[in-house]
Amino acid sequence: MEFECQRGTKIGLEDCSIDCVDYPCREKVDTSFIEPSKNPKSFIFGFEKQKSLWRLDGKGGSLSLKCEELLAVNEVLPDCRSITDLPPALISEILNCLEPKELGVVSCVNVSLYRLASEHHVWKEFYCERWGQPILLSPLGAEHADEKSWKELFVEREFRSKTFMGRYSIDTLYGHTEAVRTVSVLSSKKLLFTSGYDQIVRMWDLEEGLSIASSRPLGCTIRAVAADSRLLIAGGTDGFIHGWRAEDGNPHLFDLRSPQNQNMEFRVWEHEGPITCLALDLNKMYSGSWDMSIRVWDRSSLKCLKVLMHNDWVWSLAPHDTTVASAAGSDLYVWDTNIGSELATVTNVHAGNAFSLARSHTGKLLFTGGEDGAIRMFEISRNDKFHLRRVATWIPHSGAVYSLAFEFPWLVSASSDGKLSLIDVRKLLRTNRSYVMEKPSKVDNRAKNVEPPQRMLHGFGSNLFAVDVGLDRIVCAGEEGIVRIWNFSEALEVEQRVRALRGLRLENRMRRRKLQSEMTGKGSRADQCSVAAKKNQLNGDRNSWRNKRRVTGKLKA
Amino acid sequence: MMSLGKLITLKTNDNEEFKLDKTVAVKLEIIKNIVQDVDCTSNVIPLPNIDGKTMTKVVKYWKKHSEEGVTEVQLKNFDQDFLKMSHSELHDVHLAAKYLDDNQLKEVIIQEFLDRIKGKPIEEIREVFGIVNDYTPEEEEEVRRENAWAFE
Repeated sequence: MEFECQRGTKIGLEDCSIDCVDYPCREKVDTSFIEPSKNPKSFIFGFEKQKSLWRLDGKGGSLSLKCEELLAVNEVLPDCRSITDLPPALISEILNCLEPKELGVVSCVNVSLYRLASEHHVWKEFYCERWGQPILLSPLGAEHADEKSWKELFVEREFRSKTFMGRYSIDTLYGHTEAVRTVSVLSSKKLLFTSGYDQIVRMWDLEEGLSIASSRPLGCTIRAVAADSRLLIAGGTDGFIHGWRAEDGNPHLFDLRSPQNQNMEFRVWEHEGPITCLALDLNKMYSGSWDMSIRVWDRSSLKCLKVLMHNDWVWSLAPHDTTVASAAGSDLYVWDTNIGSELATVTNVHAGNAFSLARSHTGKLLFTGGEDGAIRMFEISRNDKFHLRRVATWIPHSGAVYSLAFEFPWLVSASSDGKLSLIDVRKLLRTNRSYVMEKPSKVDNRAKNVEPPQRMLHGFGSNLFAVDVGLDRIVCAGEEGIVRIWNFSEALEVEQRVRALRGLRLENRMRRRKLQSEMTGKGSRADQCSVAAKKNQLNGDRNSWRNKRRVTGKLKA
Repeated sequence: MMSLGKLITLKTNDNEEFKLDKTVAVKLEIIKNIVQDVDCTSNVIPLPNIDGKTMTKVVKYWKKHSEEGVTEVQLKNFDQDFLKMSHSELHDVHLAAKYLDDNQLKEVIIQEFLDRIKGKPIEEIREVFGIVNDYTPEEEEEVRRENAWAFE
């Protein structure tokens, strides 16, 4: 058949083929449908071939089935192939583009899809995109983590993200004698670092809410602190960065008070104005200052590698990979740190200064908080050109937003009006895993709208300057010099109990249904069910995956 | 039709022949490669993994997408119509697109699969794709409980 002569008959062809595939029982109707159209012989041949295929399938797969059931099989399988007959690689490709929830639904469809969907590598991507590498809290935990699949890890973590809507308790940490300007959570070690106008860096146990250690006064106000498991740095208004290196074997990593070994402590001077913000990544340090520059440092040599000059005071910065985002004056910048060039700028992001900045783990989402009390969300897209697209705006505060913290899916802001706002960004995320092209019109409308925050936390009369998130806790501090930890970990337990109850209800319902079907139905299907159920009850050792599930389910309950 | 160009003949596994303008045909990566290697304009390129019915669809898609002066709206409408096929046909076209190394068509098909999966309850997915539920009731209960979070 040549393509050229195909054109005229195309429509007829299509109609028929759809009909005969979807409604195999209406074969007679279909043939009358075909006859009037001017079909070439080959098509009719094709149709007949398909028909014979069904019969073959019916006979081959259902020797013992009754006639009615044979029909039923045909209805379920309008064609002898289904999606599950695609090569696993192709199914994988399709699953690759699904969101986690959809993947969860798909895994309930049948056994082979369960396997494909549950063991899919995409779970790891989901996890790391949102939260980075999982934190292994203890050596015992590490062993467990090895056993857990990425899907389990993901589901667990996703579950935890609900906690901020739940109940909390507050720990109040006293110690600072003046306003606190900065708080920094180190989740992996359950540590909290704070500092401010009293010039002292303090270290706290995040879980217990107890003071661990404090430094000597560093000589000037400390507006920024950053820490990871190897390095703690503090930035002073005199323009220096003071650093402590972690000691081997010290459970609290850093010896703040009086290091035994002078090499563990250092101080570098290069900024000409007060340092307002600091950040660390694997091999670099970043510092931003009112001298209108950001400096990028090598962590080990403490050499300044790049200076990024702005037109206004730098308020905040957020590095990711080879880029660093910064807020200076009322503008938002993104820089390439290797070359030291500006990749993108958005001017006048806020009325007044843009005080705060937060960034997602992928580096793609940026949040700014401003003097005008607004919070804006931007998405970085990187086709041929670097582009910042405004996604959403919130105006939850009546005062300046001094600090932002982001841990998927929550953005937490602290403001001079004494409130914290909690914002769940999940609804605003484009399904960027799928292939759909962007629909700009829709997005533009959204950008104009002001989104409501999901939750506000009140209870402070005075300015809040700093906030951070970690381990189901929100830490905030401000003018009154008191650090507060909002502990939501209890909410998790409550939610777990609710979930266990729900599971129990589902189980009971299934049991009732089974009983019912055993009582009433004498059809082959019901028999099959009860036989299978009995087999399961008798059989002590079930398939390993199911067994494991059982155990964890009981533990939770 | 197109401006006069060389015609390339493609032959499917059930001996259907498709004559395609070269400018259209080279959009298919694999054919482009073959054409580059040998001058095939006089010969027939066999496609042993694709049947005529599927190839008709693929060719239809590519004819439309390489038409001159076709607007985006037209293409969008065409795509919508084009994708109105049963899942097994979709499945064939997907395999064909994979075989032909045709990323654009493959993406369109995958997107269609996704649209058919997204936001649907389990039963509907089974129905749409003709998947047999091979869980025992016990297993299904277990799996549903495990994935309960996805239904919230």
